[in-house]
Amino acid sequence: MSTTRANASPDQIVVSDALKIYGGSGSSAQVTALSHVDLTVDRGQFVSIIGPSGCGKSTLLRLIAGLETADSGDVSVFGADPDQACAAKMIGFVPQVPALLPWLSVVGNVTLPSKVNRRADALRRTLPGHVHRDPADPRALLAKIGLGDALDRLPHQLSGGMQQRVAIARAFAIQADVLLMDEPFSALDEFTREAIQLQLLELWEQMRTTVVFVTHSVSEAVVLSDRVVVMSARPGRIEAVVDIDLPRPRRQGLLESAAMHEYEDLIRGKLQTAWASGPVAR
Amino acid sequence: MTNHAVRNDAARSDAARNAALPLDTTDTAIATAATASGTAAAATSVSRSTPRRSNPRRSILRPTIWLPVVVALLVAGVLWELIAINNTYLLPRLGMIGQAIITQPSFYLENAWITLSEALIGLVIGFVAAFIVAVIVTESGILRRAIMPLAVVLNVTPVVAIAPALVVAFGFGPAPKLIVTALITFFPILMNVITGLNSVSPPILQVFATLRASRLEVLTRLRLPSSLPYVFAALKVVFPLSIVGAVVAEFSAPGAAKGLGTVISVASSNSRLAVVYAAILCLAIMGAVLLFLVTLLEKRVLRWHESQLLKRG
Ligand SMILES: Nc1ncnc2c1ncn2[C@@H]1O[C@H](COP(=O)(O)OP(=O)(O)O)[C@@H](O)[C@H]1O
Ligand SMILES: [Mg+2]
Repeated sequence: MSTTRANASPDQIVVSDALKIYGGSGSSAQVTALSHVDLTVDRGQFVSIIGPSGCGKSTLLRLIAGLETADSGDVSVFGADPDQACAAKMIGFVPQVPALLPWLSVVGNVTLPSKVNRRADALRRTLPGHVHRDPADPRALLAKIGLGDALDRLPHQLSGGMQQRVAIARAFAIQADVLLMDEPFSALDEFTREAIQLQLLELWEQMRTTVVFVTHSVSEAVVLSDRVVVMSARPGRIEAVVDIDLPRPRRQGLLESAAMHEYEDLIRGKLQTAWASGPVAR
Repeated sequence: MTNHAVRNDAARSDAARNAALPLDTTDTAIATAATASGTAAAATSVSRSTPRRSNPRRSILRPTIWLPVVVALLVAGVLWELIAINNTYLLPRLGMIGQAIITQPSFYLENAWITLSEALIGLVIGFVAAFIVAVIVTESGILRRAIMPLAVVLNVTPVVAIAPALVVAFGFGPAPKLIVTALITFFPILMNVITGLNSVSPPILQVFATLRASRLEVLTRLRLPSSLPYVFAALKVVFPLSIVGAVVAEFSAPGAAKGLGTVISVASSNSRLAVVYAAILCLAIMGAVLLFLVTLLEKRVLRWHESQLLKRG
């Protein structure tokens, strides 16, 4: 596979005309998870993907993460194909559950990614899409996200919210070019969730990483994102793209502002259209 | 706490959905199906240790801790005596057993040491072999399909029945004993380690797949540590088993060999019941001490795993 492609920009993540079908060809249990999906994410943007469950959000994220390959169409991550991007550790993945190693301390969990695949650094330098940043100090990172006094604790001694913050710090620690987050806050209670959202924003504003963030919460999408991608199901496709033109840094006060509610209503409207337009109404 | 439960459920359903991922250990169905028997033992030994773990700071001096054991032992002793008094030819009095040991302690110590070393060396051989095979089998689908049927056949073959043949082949030295012990411990360790190596949760594997961690890194950094709880569960099963293996092998080569198994078979053919039961008592104490040591080690090594044990209980 060639490194550079016709539609591959070194400053964008591009998904073009992606098709993903689960289940063997011809079998009756086929699911078209994604169909004709086009998505462009500019470097430094915070983009959320929202949609009803089963609409292919995770599948889309896994395509970008190189965990799955599209049946047709093209995916490029800052000019490289996902495989190469992973090999160069340009991608930080945050799954829905914290996925920490229970035998490692908080610091141990955050530093582990830098200890595996050591060849990545050399490869990174050869890729035009990689922007070099000095390695982040894991302790400082953890302090920033409010875990400064839990550095040596084991995961089972942390609350769910703290565990998920460790997972986020772990993804930031490798100075990846893009962070892919799959509903990372969906298991948290409302208060924890709002606190973590703001911490994530703060960290992101300092690190200026590109983020693709899957969520099923409209307000979460609006608070966090520069751009919200609304998907609809069966087959999974992109219904609408809404740019969120709210000032940054976004702080607590924003949550009650009228502008934010307008965006929320707009996106809820789009989601309803997406819901209604699905061939199988549930 | 409820939060934990919710997230675990999410992890599990994710596991089901991601079964088809390329990095996932697909096609472990055979292995896991075959594992059922082996891990059943493991699971029970894990859950059995749960209530004790929930209270790690217990003091051995508290009557609630030692009294039940002492009472149970007393009751068993009294029952034994009641039966033994009228059937001395079936069951020796406890006093006679004690006397048998006290009059020649070095005899029992020496034979116990022989049996113990056979058991432990055989166990180490079985453990190393099983561990290597488990790693090979989880890393390569082709080798799994080649090796697992053989392992299963080995497991269903009664090792007790092989022992005499091994004595014929290898003589009265230590070799047949080590082979029997290694064989008898091999399968439970193999099955538990395979399950353990495959117990890394799919989201963790996904995170390290996006980092392109090498297979060796995934093995050493994720799979091996994840397998430790299962390894300890297996050890608790196979330590006593290893003694059984050594004794059975000694039974098959009596007279010319030593060890508690030989002592038992010689003494019983001479109708020296007190000696038979004294040797059996030594074996029981040996097994209990080994089990205790493994549990102690497990508590030190698996500190991080405690929460999981609590959740399971
Ligand atoms: N590994 C898989 N095998 C078969 N079907 C799958 C698999 N992963 C996802 N699907 C199906 O693809 C569709 C999209 O799934 P997913 O991307 O997980 O949706 P979302 O994350 O938006 O809830 C669903 O209908 C789901 O059942
Ligand atoms: Mg999903």
